Amino acid sequence: MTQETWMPQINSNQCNGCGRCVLACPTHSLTIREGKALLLYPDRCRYCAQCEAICPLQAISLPYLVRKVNDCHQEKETL
Amino acid sequence: MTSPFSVAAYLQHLAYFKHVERSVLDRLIATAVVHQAEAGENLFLEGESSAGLWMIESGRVKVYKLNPDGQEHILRIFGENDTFNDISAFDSRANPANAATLSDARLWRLPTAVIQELLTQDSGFAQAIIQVLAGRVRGLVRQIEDLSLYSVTVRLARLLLQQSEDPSLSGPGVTRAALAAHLATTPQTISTALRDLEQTGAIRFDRHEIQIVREELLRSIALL
Repeated sequence: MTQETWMPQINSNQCNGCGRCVLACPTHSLTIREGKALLLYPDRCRYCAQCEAICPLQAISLPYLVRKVNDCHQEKETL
Repeated sequence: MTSPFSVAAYLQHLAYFKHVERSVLDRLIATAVVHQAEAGENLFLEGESSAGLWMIESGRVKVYKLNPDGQEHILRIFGENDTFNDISAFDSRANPANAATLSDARLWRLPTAVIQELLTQDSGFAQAIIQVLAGRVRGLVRQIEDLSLYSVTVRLARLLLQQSEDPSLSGPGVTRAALAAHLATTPQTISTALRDLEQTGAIRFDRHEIQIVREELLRSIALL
């Protein structure tokens, strides 16, 4: 899977360019271009999902993976 | 580099076709139709006549129903090596639900007529179908139980555990909105429930990963 897989996916057919996601984004990664939301700075995105949550048209989606994490490994990390 | 997809190897891996003779399998394979689909493409609609048994080489597919207001309820998410629309391929009746891709996908389809022909000729195949369909019915009973008896948090905890055990249930195309449509709730409620689960310490977020860090705790929340 490419890095692009793990970026907010914006459906430009659904987006009406209301700009709520732009205001909600804490890292200012999004902008409005030609009346549609655009992920202008993908390297800034922290995948916080605030854009997804605030979009009234569900035009932004963030795919995710679910994974079990080894408890022992986690203990080492937190030591 | 991954090896190229083999319809023969794939079919032999499926419970349906394990006991089917190789010569019969070869005839089936000759009828298989490949379908390259983009994310969000409708594959078939509820009520249409069945085009056959679908198989997923790569990608994610949702099978869903729509209520009169157009709100979607995802019955199941399917991934690599899954089959879908089995029921109407086997009973030759109309599709019981809609199907669309959640991500770009490469799919194969065995036409209904071919399946039907094999069904009448091979009792081992018919028995395998009964076994698999019985499993599907059990899954649907579990789903009704979850929807009618448990809170969103319990349902979500159960789904996360399933997703961690079956990689095809998360990944490209599987979003909070898809989760919400599967658990009969809203994306906002899913976000709240995820935060609640994070606060218990059962899960944590790491960018695009939802990590289950205390499985036993998540199981207890899931009432399992």
